[in-house]
Order: sequence, then structure tokens, then C-alpha cells
Amino acid sequence: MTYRREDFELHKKNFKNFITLFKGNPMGIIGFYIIVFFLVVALVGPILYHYNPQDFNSAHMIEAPSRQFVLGTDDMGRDILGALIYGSRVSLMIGVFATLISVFIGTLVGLVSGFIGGRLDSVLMRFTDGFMVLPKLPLIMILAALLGSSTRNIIIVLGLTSWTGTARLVRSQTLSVKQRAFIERAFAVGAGRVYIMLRHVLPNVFPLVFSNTILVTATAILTETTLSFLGLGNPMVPSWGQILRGAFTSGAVSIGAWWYFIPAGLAVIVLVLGFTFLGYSFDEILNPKLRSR
Amino acid sequence: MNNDRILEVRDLKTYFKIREGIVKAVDGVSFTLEKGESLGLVGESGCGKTTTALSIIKLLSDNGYIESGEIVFKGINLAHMTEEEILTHRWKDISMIFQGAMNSMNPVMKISQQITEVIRLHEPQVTLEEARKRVRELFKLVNLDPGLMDSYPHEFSGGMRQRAIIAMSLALNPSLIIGDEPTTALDVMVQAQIIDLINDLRKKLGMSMIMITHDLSIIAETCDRVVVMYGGKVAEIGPVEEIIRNYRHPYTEKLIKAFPNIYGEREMVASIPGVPPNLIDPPKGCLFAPRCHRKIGKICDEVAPELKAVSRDRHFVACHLWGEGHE
Amino acid sequence: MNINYVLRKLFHSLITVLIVITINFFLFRIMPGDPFAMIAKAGNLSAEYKESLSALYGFDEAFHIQYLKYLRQLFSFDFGLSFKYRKPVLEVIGNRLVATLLLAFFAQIFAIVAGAVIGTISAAFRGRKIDVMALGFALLVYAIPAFWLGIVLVLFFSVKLGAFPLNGMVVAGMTHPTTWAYVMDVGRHLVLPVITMGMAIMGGYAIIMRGSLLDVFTEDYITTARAKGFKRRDIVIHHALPNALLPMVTVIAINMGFMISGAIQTETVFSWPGIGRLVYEALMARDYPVLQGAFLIISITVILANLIADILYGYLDPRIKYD
Repeated sequence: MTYRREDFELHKKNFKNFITLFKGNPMGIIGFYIIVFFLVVALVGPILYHYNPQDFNSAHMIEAPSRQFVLGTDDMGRDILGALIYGSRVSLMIGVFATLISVFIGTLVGLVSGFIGGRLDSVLMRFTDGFMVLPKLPLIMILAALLGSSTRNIIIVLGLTSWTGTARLVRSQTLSVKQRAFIERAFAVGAGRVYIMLRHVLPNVFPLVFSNTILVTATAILTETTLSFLGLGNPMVPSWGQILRGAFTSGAVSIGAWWYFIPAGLAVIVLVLGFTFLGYSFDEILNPKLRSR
Repeated sequence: MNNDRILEVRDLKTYFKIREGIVKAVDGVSFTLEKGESLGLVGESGCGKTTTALSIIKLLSDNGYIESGEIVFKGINLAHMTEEEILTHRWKDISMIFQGAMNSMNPVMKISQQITEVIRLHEPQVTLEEARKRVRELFKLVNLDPGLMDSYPHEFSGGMRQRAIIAMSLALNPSLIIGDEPTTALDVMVQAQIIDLINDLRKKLGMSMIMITHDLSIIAETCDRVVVMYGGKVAEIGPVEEIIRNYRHPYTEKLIKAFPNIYGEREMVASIPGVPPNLIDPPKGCLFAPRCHRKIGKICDEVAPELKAVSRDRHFVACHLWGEGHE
Repeated sequence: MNINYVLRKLFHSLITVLIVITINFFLFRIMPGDPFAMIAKAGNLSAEYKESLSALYGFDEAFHIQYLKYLRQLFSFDFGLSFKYRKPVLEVIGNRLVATLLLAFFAQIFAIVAGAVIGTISAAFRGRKIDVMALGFALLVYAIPAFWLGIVLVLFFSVKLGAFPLNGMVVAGMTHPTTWAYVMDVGRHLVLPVITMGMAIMGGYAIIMRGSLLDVFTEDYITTARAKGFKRRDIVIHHALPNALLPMVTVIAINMGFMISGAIQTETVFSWPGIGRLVYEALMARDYPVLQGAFLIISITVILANLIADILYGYLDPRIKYD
């Protein structure tokens, strides 16, 4: 088909345009660097910094920062800086994989619903809307409690409960793409539905999905931290939420042991903020309604 | 200077700052408007007709500004007034008739409320009851049932909404009314009724008007004189009859032939071929040259044509075809 | 208002309730292994509770029979017995309802007012420094885990300054001589939890308010208002805000679920004796009947709030009448 190359050229031009706009968006740049920073810490940190969550030490319980323990110790005498570094892995991994599941389900539902239309569309959307208003945290808590709170299960549970926004978005975008001429042309030359959906609709829906994806990741990281804090994380795996739970249950707050919960809290906030900034700036660039002249 | 002169626009330049540079949306436009006169601004979208009209009351978006020029309204220069200074002139002296098909009326406010709020803004001593009485009279004036004044905009048909918008524009008895495509998107029958209403009111109230439209046939029915704009500049200006019969600019010619339902032969021109010029970095010659079918040579590409009188009848054109020795 | 509109919304709500009930039904049945054994694992159960469990779940029967039985039980408001409190679930939840409603009410008001103000300022000064600051603040607030904010507030205001009580709803063991003294005591305990929970939901409101206003600013009737000679401030407040607030009604309702998340975290940190704290305690004790019942009641409340918001929207927006 001859218009394939034109399509490609168009995408290339759009991408260049996108990069130019992105460079002029300080919020997006900050978000980008924050995420890069945490990625580096998660990948390289554990190699450079030794930490073992089994290193209990009753001689150094809830100790203030010192030369030996730069960010102090927790209620079992473990190094908090080490837990923070190792915890970045858990947060990023859960955030990213849960998002992948969520975006997969959301895109599938939205694409099928918008493209096929008719009764299937109204059934799927009624279900999506119904699911959307459900209080997510109690549902996630029950699921995590029943399934057992391994890292894998947390990822699945988060993915299964956070796809509704993506589905709605993809559906509305699919509906507008469906109206365009090249879809009609593709039908006219006898392309199949699935082929058109994957080859023509999906690439056009993708940019908006992308910015949404980043925002979903932010929420997933936040929810994971909350779950761990509420005691639904895996206690054997060090994570930021586990540190914060330790600080809360050990009474570190009431004795003013700030090092136990301030750094971990800031780590969560900065990382979530990084994803939010990035996602929000993408949204501003890709959504013409929000874009300033 | 003429005492009957309502408005004189002199060498108006209105620019917009965007990411890619500065858009010279209006670039050196001049015209005058006498008391009781109706002037049409016509051209394709993006030719600067709307920006010219909005500049008069400085209704520009945040990135738009008047670079230079004068807008003398009843002897006062509005061009360099601050936002605060111009507020008191808006609607009281110069009001607008917006396009009714658009969301020109606030959807969550009753129509009566939208008219009384502007009366009481500029005449705070008027009580609500007096203002409502005036709305009732205005409704009668535009042939609307005053009993419907407390409706919401969506409860009116397109034609009724346009009448209500005209009523609103008359609320403060302004010296000048600017009509921004007031009949666009109405069906033909309703369009004719609205044009009749406007003509009727003009006769009755002696109002001065500026009419913005892309449709020359509406200009022909409602205006005394017309300004044809292209690329932010005046291409041709003169009395409506004169322009339609003796057009001089090739662009005017194309415009007239694009609307074959008025005088002249029917010609199969749906629209004018080519695209309007880039106004960030405009070409140095005549802006219409790349699309012109009567180009006479290098001069068109290199020298921007000046406005020149072509007859004693206040008819001017900016085209090298009508330069010295060509007449 | 159109009666068909109300009926349609009512019908949608009923479907959603059915979805919740079905999810709730399957939640405790599709788990790997013998569900009875799994639940029994949670603690040493007496014969009495095993009996109540069997009655509640009816594990031996066919799926659709179980489902119908379950529905019949729900309609007689029988949610089973709490493992921990040894009381009917409905009674346990009912005892906690007022505390949560009190907290949620004030937190909602705080969040709506603060969110609307911040979003409006941000939109009115779009692209300027104050907009960047307001938007940045809204995103920051959104990124802060509610429980962490609660902990930090406790550390600063209660531990360091001693300005507010650490936790609870009233001073433990204190007898209040007058009703006024009781109200004051609750009020003092309410301040930090309200701020915590309010902040958790405020960020989202501010961002949506900003977007909604920016949308409205591009509408033609805003140009009309400018042409009429209104000041910028008057246009924002009298012409733009009423239109921009309409979508907020829906957003507030949809965010009810998010508010529950804030309630669970806030009540856990402050030991606030509400439903959120109950959910946390039930989770710790693996008190499944309470968890299940709480989820059902919370969900139905949220659905009801959405229904009310929809009807309210129809009442506030005159255009809905003819939809």
C-alpha cells in the first residue's frame, strides 16, 4: 500500500515536533530527570551499596544518622539508606508492570468497544463506568489479603483494578479516529477489522494512551506504598512502604525519629511527582485543547 | 474633519505573538465610517477582517496587541487605551452582534438576565424592574414574544436566538454596532428574515454598522460601502454597487465569482485556488501574487502595491494593474 | 427535569450495584484451594462461627444456588457475623458510620473550597508564575501519600508543638460536663485528620477545576462577556465559574471512591473510630465478613452519591432537560 510511507513520514514529523515542544516544557524536563535518577539508583544502587534485609542488629535500634548509618537505622537495627536504595527497585518494578497490565486491559476494552460499537460497546462501557466508581483501595486490600501479598500478586491486583480510565480514553479516541478517511480507504481495499484495528487505529490512539500510562504509573506507585504501609506488602522485600510501616508501628513518630520516615516519604513523593510532571506535560503537548498557542 | 464621522481607522497594525513568531494579522488598514453608514468587511477566513473589527474595542486574545495606528471613535483615540479605560466604551458605545449558532450566549443564564446584566453594568442607577421593562421593549423591537424573555438560550431556535442577540446589542443604544457573521449557519429563509430585520432597524434607528462576513451577497444586501481584505491588508475599498459592478482587484473578482448568486454571470468557481499567505513571514511583493491570474510581471512579486483612487466615487484599489499609465 | 433522565440514571446505578454484589460474591469463591479452609486459617474459629460461615457462603451447593441465596441474604440485610467482634457485621459497621461521615464531610468541604480556589487562581493567571506555582502545588499535594502527610502533621503539631491531640476522637476516659465541651473536644481531634484527608483529595479537584475553567475560557460567551465591558475578575467569577463548576459536581461524585482511600489511611494514622479504621482492623484480623460487608456498603454509598450527583447535575444545567 502506497500511503504507508506517507504515514511513516507523518509520524516522524510529529515526533520531531513533539520533541521540540517537550524541550520547551520545564515541568516535563524535571519529571524526566527525576525518573532517570530513580532508574539509575534502582539499577546501579544495589550493585554499589551493600544491604541485606536480614541484617538485624539489636545494638543499633532506631539510631539517628551517623557515619556508620548515613540515614540512621530502623526498629530492627537495619540500615535505612540501604532499604531506600533497594526499595526503589520494588516501587519502579511494581509501578511499571502494574501499569503494563492496566494499559493492556484498558486499551483492549476501549479499542474493541469503540471500534466494534453497537451493543457490545454499551455493555462494555456500562461495566467500565460501574467499575470506575467502585472504591478501589478497599477492593485492592481485599484482593491482596485473599491472594496473599507477594510482589507478583500486588502487580496483578493493581493492574486489574486501574484500567477504567484508559479504557474510556481509548474508546473516545478510537471513535474519532474511526471517522477519518484512511480507515474507510483501508476497508475499501478489503483489510480485515482486526488488521485495521491494530495497524491503523492503535498507532493513532497510542500517543494519548502514552501520557495516560505515565499517570497510571504514578498512581500505581502511590497505591503500592499505601498497601505496604497498611501491612499488605511482602515483609521480606524491602520497599518504601515497608519502611514507613515500620516507622508507624514501632512508634518512631512519637519519639521524633524523623530519619525513619521523612526520607522514605520524600522518595515516594519525588518519584510520583516525577511521573505526574512527565505525564501532565505530555498531556499538555498531545492534547490540543490544553495546548497554549 | 467631518463631524458626522463615527469612526476613523488609520494605518492599524494588530499583531499576535505565537511560538513560531509574530503574526501580522492586520497590517496597515485604514477606513472611515460615517454616521448612519454601514460598512462591510469581507474576505476569506484569516484575512484579518475579524481581527480588524475586534481591534476597535480591543477584544483581542492575550497574545494579540495593537502594534501601531489610530482608532478614532467620535474624536477619541481608542487604540492605546488601557483595558480599564476601554471597558466603559464597550457595549455602551460600541456593541456587537455575535453569531447565534455559536455559544455566544451563556448557557446557564436566562436570556433576560444576560440583557439586564449589561444594562445595569453601564447604568447602575437602573433598577432590575426598569431593566426588565427595557428587555420587554427590545424583544418587541426584534419581533420576539416578550413572554419568552426568561427562557434559556437552548430553548430558542437559531433564528430566535439571533434576534435575541440583536436585541442584546441594542440594549444601550450604542453609536456603533459590529456584526460578526450574524447570519452564518442559519438556514436561507431565516437568514433572509434576519437581514430584513437588520435593514429595518438600521432605517428605524439610524444605526452605524460594521458587518463582518465572508459572504459578499450579505454585504450587498446590508451595506453601503465595502472593504475587501486580503492577508491583513486592504485590497479594495468603495461603495458596494461600484465594487460589484466595476471591481478592479483580481481577488475581488474571484470573490464575486465565488458567489455566483449575485449579479453577473454564473461561473463554476467553488472556491479560490491556492492558500492565503503566511503572515509570520509575508512575501515582500503583493500578497495575492502567488494566486493571481492577472499577474503582470516582476513588479507583482517585488513591490507591495499602494492603495490608489480609481474613480471619483471613493473607490480605491491596491493592485499594480491599476498603476500609473494602466488606467 | 425529565423523568426519563432520572429513570435512566437510576437504572445505571442498579446495574452498578449488581456488579458490586457479583464481584463481592465471587471474591470469596474463586480463590485457590478450599475457601472454607482458607478463611478458617485466619484464626481459631468456634463451631458457632463455622456454622455462620456455612450459612453465609453455602459452599456445598451449586454456584447459581449460592448466588441466589447470597442475594436473598443481602436483601434481608444479613451480612453475617464478625469474627473479631462476634456481632452482626451490619451492627459493627453501623457503630462506625457517624465518625466517618463527620470526618468526610469536613474534609470534602475543605478540599472543594481549597481546590476550587487554587484551580481558579491557576486558570485565571494561566502561563504566569502564579499559575505554575498553583499547579505545582496541586500536583505535589496529589503526590503525597495521605498516611505520610498525617504522620508528618502529627509529628509537627502534636509531638513537637502539642497543639492538637495525637489521635482518637475524644480524650480517652474523659467525661464531658456539657455537650459544648464534648463538641469542642471532638473539634480539636478533628482538625488534623480533616486537613490530612482534605489534602489527599484537594489536588485532584484543583487540577480538574483549572482544566474545566480553561475550557470555558475558550467559549464564545466569554468573548460576549468581554465585549459587554465586564472586568476580567467579574467574568471569571460570574460567567466562567458557574459553567466550570458543573463538571466538578460529577468529578466530586466519581472521586468518592478516592475519598474512601483517604479515609482508610487517615483513620488508620489517627486511630479515628470510623469505617476506614474498621477496614484496616478487619484486614489485620482477617475478619472477612466485615471486610466484605464494609466493601459492599461503601460501594453502595458511592454509587448512591453518584446517582445524586447525576440528578443534581440535571437540575443545575438547564440544557439537560431536553436530552
